[in-house]
Formats: sequence, structure tokens, C-alpha cells
Amino acid sequence: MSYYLKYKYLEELHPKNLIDIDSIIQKVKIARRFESVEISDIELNKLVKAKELCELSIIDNWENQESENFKQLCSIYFDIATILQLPTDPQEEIFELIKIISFGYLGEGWHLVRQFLKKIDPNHFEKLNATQWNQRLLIVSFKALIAVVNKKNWEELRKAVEYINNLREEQAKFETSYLNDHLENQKKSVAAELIALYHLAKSIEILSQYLLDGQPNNALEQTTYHLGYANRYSDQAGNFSFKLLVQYFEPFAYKLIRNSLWHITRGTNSRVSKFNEFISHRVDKPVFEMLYPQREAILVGGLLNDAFDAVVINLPTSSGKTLIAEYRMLKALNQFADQGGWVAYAVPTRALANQITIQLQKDLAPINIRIEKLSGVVELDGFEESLLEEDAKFSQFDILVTTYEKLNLLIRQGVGASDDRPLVLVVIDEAHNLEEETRGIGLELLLTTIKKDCRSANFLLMTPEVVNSSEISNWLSADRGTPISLGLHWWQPNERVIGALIADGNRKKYNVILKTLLTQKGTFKVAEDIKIIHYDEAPLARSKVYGSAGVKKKFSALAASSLTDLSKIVLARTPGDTFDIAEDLWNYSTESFPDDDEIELVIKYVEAELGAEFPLCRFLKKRIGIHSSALPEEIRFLIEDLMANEKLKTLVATTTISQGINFPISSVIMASYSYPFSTMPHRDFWNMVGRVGRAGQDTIGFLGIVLKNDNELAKVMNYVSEAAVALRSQMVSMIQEALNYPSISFEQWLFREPKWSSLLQYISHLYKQTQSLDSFISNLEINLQSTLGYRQLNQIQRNYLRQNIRQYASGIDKNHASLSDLTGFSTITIRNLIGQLSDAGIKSSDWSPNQLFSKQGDNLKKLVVIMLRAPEIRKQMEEINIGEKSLDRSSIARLITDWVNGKNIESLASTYFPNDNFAKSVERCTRILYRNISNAATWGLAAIQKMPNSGIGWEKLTEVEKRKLANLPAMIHYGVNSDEAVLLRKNNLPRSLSSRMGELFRASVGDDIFSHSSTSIR
Amino acid sequence: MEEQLRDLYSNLNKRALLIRYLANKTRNLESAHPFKKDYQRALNCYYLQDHPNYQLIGVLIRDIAPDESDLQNSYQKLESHVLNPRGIKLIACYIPIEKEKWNDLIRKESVK
Repeated sequence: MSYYLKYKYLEELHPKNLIDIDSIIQKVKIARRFESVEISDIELNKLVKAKELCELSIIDNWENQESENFKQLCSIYFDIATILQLPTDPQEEIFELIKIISFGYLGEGWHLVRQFLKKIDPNHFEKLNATQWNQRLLIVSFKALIAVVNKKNWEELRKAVEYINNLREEQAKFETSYLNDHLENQKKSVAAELIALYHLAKSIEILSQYLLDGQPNNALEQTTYHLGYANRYSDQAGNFSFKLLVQYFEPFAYKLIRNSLWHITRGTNSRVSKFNEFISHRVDKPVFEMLYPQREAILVGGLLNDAFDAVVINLPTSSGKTLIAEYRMLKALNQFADQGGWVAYAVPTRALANQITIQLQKDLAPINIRIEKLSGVVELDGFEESLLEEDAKFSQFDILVTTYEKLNLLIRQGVGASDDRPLVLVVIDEAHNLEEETRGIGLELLLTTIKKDCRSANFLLMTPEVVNSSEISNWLSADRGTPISLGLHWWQPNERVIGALIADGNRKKYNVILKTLLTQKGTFKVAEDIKIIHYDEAPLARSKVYGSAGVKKKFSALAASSLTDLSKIVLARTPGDTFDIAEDLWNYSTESFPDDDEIELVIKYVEAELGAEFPLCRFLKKRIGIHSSALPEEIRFLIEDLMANEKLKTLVATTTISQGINFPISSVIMASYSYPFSTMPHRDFWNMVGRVGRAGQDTIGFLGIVLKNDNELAKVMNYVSEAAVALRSQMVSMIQEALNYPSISFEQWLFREPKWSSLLQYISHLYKQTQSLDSFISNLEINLQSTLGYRQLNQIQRNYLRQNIRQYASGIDKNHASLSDLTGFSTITIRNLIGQLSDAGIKSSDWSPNQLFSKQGDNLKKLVVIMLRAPEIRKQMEEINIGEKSLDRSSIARLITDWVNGKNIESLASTYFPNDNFAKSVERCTRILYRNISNAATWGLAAIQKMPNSGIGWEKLTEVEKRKLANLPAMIHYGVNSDEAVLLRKNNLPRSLSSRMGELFRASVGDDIFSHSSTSIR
Repeated sequence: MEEQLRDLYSNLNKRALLIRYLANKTRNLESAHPFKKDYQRALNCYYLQDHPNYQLIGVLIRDIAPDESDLQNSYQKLESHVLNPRGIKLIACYIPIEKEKWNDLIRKESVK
């Protein structure tokens, strides 16, 4: 719901008195973000009036505090009151702040209350001097209350308890004289006020104690008791202002208790209690309260309810989904502890796998939950094979974090299906990827396979708003699936503005204007244009960045360089664009920055990995970072870390960063809202928007879409105003397209669109599990019903699909189906690989690392030729040659050989791309190695190894020899040439150090490196 | 009473507090209740303009025999502060029942 609708509700209640109040609230909100927006006294007076009327409407609805209208009014009051000046009189200020806190909580926005209080100088209240005992009681209780709401850590809550304890000691000192200072006829009401204040203070003490450790058990009842008395005595005190304060405080106190971890998860299980104990007591970012969506997910949505096998969490980005997943995982692990149950946490990217692993290790490892991560490549290296094999005997992990594709490979190999070590929960992060054009079908069929093969598996899908989430939960588990969505449609974790950026002016004198845009979601919009940058003498003429010859990349860099916000992101279309934009930013930057150890360390790391000439080293010195798939995973991770620690001013990233950013961003400049070959889907766009101004940040987030010229405005307005449609299976569009070309068989589609491989693999996996073609066909309808796509197809499409599957299945060789499950390639690719390998004549001896990666041999070249014919990886391999001068197959093989043998990037760049300028050649070389070769060639080689005519006599090898061979593809992935170095690289050691450190490691542990867990290495 | 009236005239927050008091008193009344209707009408009128539109009415309730000087004194004290432009109305009620008994009487009435 847009803010327009949220605030319009107040106008509806007071139609004559609050005309257009929604625009004024939004304008004042925006004015706090952009100085150029001016607010008149008339507008401010209207806002004051709106605040008063809002409070009166809240009082009018006081008996319906659980109603959506009441919550909405409270949230509106909070929004208005926090943009107005606070009263100057200390007592009035305290009363107003208590009101803001209370209504903030009742409007389900405690996280915003905390943000707001952060802006208030903590010493401000320390300075307040109370001359009277009643004032002192109020001020000290208020300070305790602020500590309870802020609760930065355990200590702060202890401090709140201490404040109240001190009051007890002071009572003896001040109370009598205070009472004696009053006339006899005043004493009764003065004493009543004191009693009310004592009860208020006591209830604050109970609140802090309860947040600390969940005690007293009956905190709700005790608070009710004390606030009942506070209420009664405030009545007798005859001070209406104070009575109102008590009236407002009461529901806040109950809400705080109801938001606490202890209340929400009471009696769930011992693991959850341990977890609560840990996360509330830790020094770094303790958690005491749950956000509104988290609480609703558990209490209303039934997240921890045994009755549900499949839960689809359908919540806005930044609603705290990871914590929700943690509770669900703990429940599953507890429930299946006796059977050795484990959880798979599947994510779309390697970067996210890293982030999630670190987060889970931080949160769950201290309560003895074991977390392991598998690499993102679609193959199992020797160490991963060892881990899984050992795990089957003695469980090695409780939670396995990996990518969708890797999980698919495991499931199809039977991991998680056994009753001895069952997969009990699958968490799918960013599950809206079900509709992603190339990978969506694979994810859908992974879930379908888990449903069929892993009978103990439950599902938890986490997505940003998907309108048909009940259809998805119903697909996963017909009677036992449930979607979890928010009841309050206007609720947002953060506040933001979305707008188009245009350049207005002439030559070098112009303004960058933000035109705020109307959206369906919670974003602020004002009628006025907002001048965000003014140039008297811009570094580039307007015509170079905007207009008929406008260049978005240039405009973005210019705008970003002029914005003073910290932690901003510029979104680029391609990895290459990230370098161009960062280069411009670097040129514009005239600022000098003090030395920073963290930055210097990252620069050293980049120098060691990619060479001192790699542009990122220069960029970082000016606090500019880049982030794309063309960078090594470790460097991307370090850059994210710098962003999280607010060390960078600007990060230039490709749009893929939208999935799973876990650091604060104040603003985003979008040089592009399209992916390299398509428009960014709406869900991805809103996912990105959701990261801007994340919960916990104190300013309104700002996302500006850069326009090329004025003509583009209408298109962008249209793009952001469209609501996301229902999530559709990719199978639907595939079959629709296939029906347009009925003469093309499924086999042929594979060569046109590699995503067809997922469907073919699903079919061959099903076929492998049946006795005969007849039984496969007789069960086909049932198995297809298990997919989401089949349910969304019409009858004609269904018939067509069944008919073609029958045709395809009749040609499947069961051995090929098994190989398909082992490799992630379709049976058609397998058949072709086998055919080509017969001609290649690779022998067993050719597979030793020294032979395979030797400059003299041509075996790797032969294998590269074969790989280039596999549809699943061909596109990635072909990308090596996009745009610029081609690398022939021999060069690709030589590049891989040099890469594995440890040549550094600078030397590889000058050898293989000698015609480019040096910086460009390094960029290109890095992109090819980290984006294409490390994925595609690794996968391809691993698949070839498993072919029966690969030349490897697997049956004659010892276990250790098998694992060593299985590590060959990983050597390509990590760019090293020993098993030890692979192990160290898996644990994020820099490539430049891994070989030498690997030798030292071998010297210390001997040959038995496969028995070492990743934890022991660390 | 004079101080309260003076405050209500000069302090916007005090007036807002009085209105909240009334809002709390009327919140449980049916919307057709005459007092609620009057309150709503007055509220709309008060907030309709940029400068609040209202009139101050002071009500004095005492348990003695009527005494004109009560209001005269108050009027004189308030005249220079609040008479213009708002105007002020002062009403005095002299009730022939002791003040101490009022509470009980009111409670009994409200029970009925």
C-alpha cells in the first residue's frame, strides 16, 4: 500500500479539516532527507492539527486496539509526531516522547521507535534536573524506559533496572519532605500521583527484567496489576495530563512483552530456549524483541506449528526472514533429533551462501548447531565427497548451506532420502527465483524431487511479496501448507523515496532533479521536483550525460559523485560497466581520505590476488568499491564487509547484488533497471528497493533511476507503478513457446535453450526410479501433478507435455539417467559426451594433475572442445569470447593450465590479452576466470570424469585416489594445483598464498587431509 | 478558575489536553448520543480554520449562597487577558448541598 493510501485514511476521518494531509506528511518526510524541499509555516501548522486530530481518532478507537484501523492511526501519529519539533518544556517533552514510543509500538513499528530515539542526544535527559520528588520519579522512570526501548545490549537493560532500584533508595530521602511541602487539602492528590508513579516505575522494572531473561514468567499479569493501580491513582491525582500518560503507557507495556522473544516462543522447545538465551545475551547485536512480521509469522502464521509441512513466508524485503528461518530450523532439528535429521538452506548465489553461513554460524554455532557450506559449483570435490560420505556414517552437520543447483545434485544422488539421516527441512531463500527465466525451472523441479524422494522433508520458502503464495504452499503440501503474509498492508520495514533522475539546465550549469514516482508500495511521493544537486560548473556538460546523446553510465557516476550520502550503491548493467562507472567516480573524486587499516588490508589482498595494477586497488583508496561476478568470491565478500562497516562511500555493483545484501544502504543510483538481456523483473526491482534504508537505518532510503532523456520518464513511471503479478512457473512459458514450434522435439529444445536441461533431467530422474517405460508412463500424470508448472498449464499444454515426455523417455538409457543425476547434465548431453570421449582417446595416466595441466599435453584442449558442445555450459564458455578478440580452444586450455599452475592475474592478462590496454586486459581476464572458467570448466571437467569412457578406472582406485581425482575440477575452480591448496581455498585463503600454505599444511598433517573438517582448518 | 481559563486561552497544548479529556469522556458514547454529537460538532468547528475557533466558558460551582462578587472578581481579572477577541462567558452554579456529598450523588446518578 502506498503512503498516499495510508495517510488518506486520516483525511477520510476528518474530511473537512485535513484536506490533502497525505501530501503534506510526505513532503515534510522528504524535506528531512533533501534540504532543498522547503516547508511553509502553513504546512507545519496543518501538520500540528493533523497530529492532534489523529490522537483524537486513536482515543476514539481505544477499545479496538487489535484492529487494523487503530494500528494504522497509531502509525500515522508516529510518522507525524517524529517529523515535528518536540515541546521545549521538559515535562511536556517527556509526555510527548512517551506518546511517540507508545503509538510507535501500537502501530507495529518499534524498530522505527528505536531509530527515532537514536537521534536524541542521550545526555539530553541526563541534564534534566528535577527539583520535586514527583518530577524526579518521572524523569528517572523515563530514562529507564528509554533504556528498555533502546536496549543496545544486555547492560543497558540492567541499567534500566538499576535506575528503578535507585529510586527506591531515594524514596526514603525525598518522599516525606515532598508531601510535607504541600497543603493539607492537596496532599491526597499529590500522594495519589506518587503512588501512580511508583507503580509505573515498577512496571518499567518488570519490563526490563522480562526482556533480560524471560522472568517473571507472569510478567503480563504483574504489569497489568501495577498499571491497574497506576491508572486508578492517576485518576485520583486529578491531573489529566498524567492520567493520559498512564493510559497510553499501559498498552505499550503489554505490546513490549508480547513482542519479546520469550513471550512469542514460550514453551516451543529446549533448543529455542537456548537460542533465545544466546541471542539476547550476546554482546554484538543482541535480539530481545521480534519485528512485527516475525511475531506474526510465529503467533498468527503458525511457523512453529507441527500441522504445517510447507510454509511460504511472503514478507517484504528486510522483514527479518533469517531469524524466522532460524526458529523454523531449530524446530525441525529438535523434532527429528533422534532420527539424525538435517536441514538444507538453499540460496541463489555463492555470495549469499557465504553471508548466510556466517550469519548462521554466528547465531547457531554457539548453541552447538553444526553448519557446513558447500561450494557453489555444480560438482562435488574430494572434500565434499568425503564430508558427505562421513556424514552418512556419523553425522557431520545439522545445517548445510548451498546453492539451488548444488542441492539438486545432492538430492538426485539420494542424499537426504535415507531414514537414518533424513533431510527434514529445506529452506529456500529468495524463493521468487522460481520464476527466474533460466534457473526457475531447475528450482521448481528440485522442490518437486525433494517432495517425492525425501519423505521427511518439510519446506520453508522465503520470498518478498508473492501474490499467489497460497498456491505455492498448496503445491508443496496440499492440506498441510500455509502461506504467511502480513495483515497490515501498509507496514514497511523502512522508509524510502523512489524517483527518476533528470538533468535540467544548460551546458555546464544545471541541476540534477529527482522526480518522485507513484508506486503501489510504501514509498513517499510529492508533486514538486526535488533539486538534489546543483552545478555552476559541472565536470561534464549536460549534453554529455543527458538528452539525445545522454549516457546513463556517465550520468550515474556524476550524480553519485556529487551526493554526500555514505553507503550508496550505483547499479550497473554489466560487470564491465562497473569498472567504467567506478573509473569516472575515481576521476571526479578530489577528496583525500585518512589511512584506514581495514581498507589497506583489502587493498593488499586485491594486490596479492589480482595484481597491484588492478583498478580496484586505486578505487578503494578513494573509498569506491566494485562488485560483480567478474571478481573472486573472496574479494566480493571483503567488499561487502567494507560496506557493512561503512568504510566505502560508493559501491558500484551489478544488479545481481539485489539478492541478499545484508548491509545498510542509504541510497541507490540505478544506471540500469535491466539485466544484460532483459528488463529487471518487478519482484527483483522491489527486492532491491527493499534493501534501501533497511530497518535500523536512521534516514529515508532513496532510490534514483537515472534517465537518458525526458522521453524515458513515462516508461520509468509505468515500470515502477506496475504491481508484481502472480508467480508463474517457467514451465508454462517453455511449453507455450514449444507449442508454437510443434516440429521441434524436447531434445532439440535443449540445444536452443539450456534451461530445458532441468526438465529433461527431471524426467530422466523419474524414469531411473521406475521399473519400466510402461510404469513410468502410467505414473507420469501423478508425477507431473507434483510440479507447480503442470498445475498452471491448460489442457492442451498438458497433453502436449505428456506426449513429448513419453517420446523423450522412450529414448532414455537408464545408465545415462544415473549419470545425469551424478553430473547435472541431461541424458542427451551425456550421450554426446560419451560419443566424443570415444574419439578423444584419453587414458588413465592423462588424468594426473601434472599431465592434465601440463603445457606440453593437449588433453585439456580436447576436453575443452568437448565441453564447448555441452548445452548446459556452452553459453558460459562462449561468453569468454563475447565482444572482443576471441580466444581459441588451445588458448582457453593454456589459460586454464596457467591459472591452475599459479600464474598471477597480471601475467595471465598480458599473455592472453596483449592487445588490450593493461587495465582492460586485467578486467577481462578476471571476468573470464571467475565468471566463466571457474564455473563452466569446473562443472564440465567434473562431468567428463564421470563418463564410463573417461579413461579413469575408478574401480581400481583407492578412496584417497578417487578423492584426489575428484579434486581436479576444483583445482580449476580455485586456480591452484594441489589438494591442500584446494582445501585452503575452500576456506577462503587467498590464491596467492594457498600453494605455499598448502605445502606447510601437508607437512603438518601428512597425507590424511580428507578427514579434516572445514572447522578444524579454520 | 482564572488560572485555568488564562492557560486555556494562551496555551495551545492545554486546550489540546482539554479536548483529549473530552474525547476520552465521549469515546464510549453511542454516536447518536447528544453529548457526543455536540462534541463532534464543536471539534469540527474548532479545527476547521487555521486559527482555532472557540469560546471560553468558565463554570464555577459552589455550595454556598449565590454571591455576585465571585464572578465579578474573576471577570475583572480575566478581562484584560481573554476578553478580546475571543470573549468569555462565566457561569456560576450555587448548589444547596455540601460539596463533600457531591461525589456520592454523582456516582449514584451515573449508576441509575
